[in-house]
This record gives sequence, structure tokens and C-alpha cells, in this order.
Amino acid sequence: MRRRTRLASLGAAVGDLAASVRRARDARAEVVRIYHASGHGRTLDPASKEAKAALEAAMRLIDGVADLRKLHENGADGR
Amino acid sequence: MNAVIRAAATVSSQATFENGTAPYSRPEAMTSALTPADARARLREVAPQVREALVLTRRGRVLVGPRALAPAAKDLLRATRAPAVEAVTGGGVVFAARSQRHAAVVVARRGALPGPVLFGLRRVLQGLEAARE
Repeated sequence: MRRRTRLASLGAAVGDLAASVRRARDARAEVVRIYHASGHGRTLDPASKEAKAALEAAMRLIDGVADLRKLHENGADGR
Repeated sequence: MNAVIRAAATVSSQATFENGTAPYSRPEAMTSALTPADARARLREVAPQVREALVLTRRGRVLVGPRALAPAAKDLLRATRAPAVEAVTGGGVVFAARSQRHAAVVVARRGALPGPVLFGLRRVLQGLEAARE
């Protein structure tokens, strides 16, 4: 087995770091996928009208659930 | 000889069994029909990340679930014509699916696997449709 040079080790470390940054960025990415009746899905173009409308509604739902939970925790559940 | 050694029924359940079980059998197979409340309960258990679930009519009227979320749920269903949609945002993920007469929306934390949630949505919608037949 060939021993890694210092430069190769540094290259590998930079590669790992870049992959971590990429994964973290992907985890924050906003994505809309639609699924057909067959179960096949496709990702919508994030700039499309359809994706923007779906994301906007999804954010309102997530915020709404958070608000309801807060109300519930405060004992003022308005459901 | 057989008549002598044949065990006599000693408990009522044994006697009932010997009289036949036909009256206790359904003429047709059981269906997986669900009420909207059952459907919501099932959806809330489909993944640990699920925070809320709503069951609506196809037109967006909330059958069960927090009514405060109805306008946003309706807008999500209107955003696309696809049978199912998954919207991933920084704060969480929302799944929605529709059938002929119903729709369902699941709000979850990030990390919910789309496969099981979408499968659960499809099964629940099938159950709701079966209940209407």
C-alpha cells in the first residue's frame, strides 16, 4: 500500500470538508417533488410558479403548526 | 366406543364452537374503510417526525384537523395538479396527496422519509374512499 503524501492528505481533508459543506447546504435546500399515480416522482424547477406556490403554502403550514403548538403549550388551544 | 371417549363440552366457548361458527362470520370480507378521524390518527403515526395531519375533501374543506391550517392546506393542494406532492423547506417538510373525493396533508419535521409517508397517505386515502363506497 502506498503511503499518502502530505499534499494528498491535505487534499483528502479539503475534499471531506467540501462534501460536508455540500451536504449541509443540500439539507437546507428548498425542494418540491411531485409524484404521479405510478409512484414516480420528479423535482420541480424551484423558479417555477408551481414550486413557489407549493413552498409558500408549505411554509405557512409549518409556521401554523408551530403557532398551534405554542398555543397548546400555553393552554389556549383554539382548535 | 367412540361415543364413550368423546370429550363433552365443558366450557361455553367449546359448546359454541361445536354448534358452528357460521353466525359469527361476515358474509363479505372486511374492508379497510376509515373514518376521517381514523385516517388522521393513522397519519400522525406514520413517522415519528410527523407533527400534524389534516384530512380534507378534494375541494379543501377540512374534515378533521386544525381548521386554522385550512387556507394553507388548500393553497398547497391548488399549487399542483399532481396526485401527491412533497415540499421541503428549511423548517420542515409537508406532504399532500389527493384521491377522487379526499385529500390529506401531513406536516413533519425535516428528516421524515418520503417513502413511508407517501405510502401511508395513499393507504389512508384508499381507506377513506372505501368508506364512501
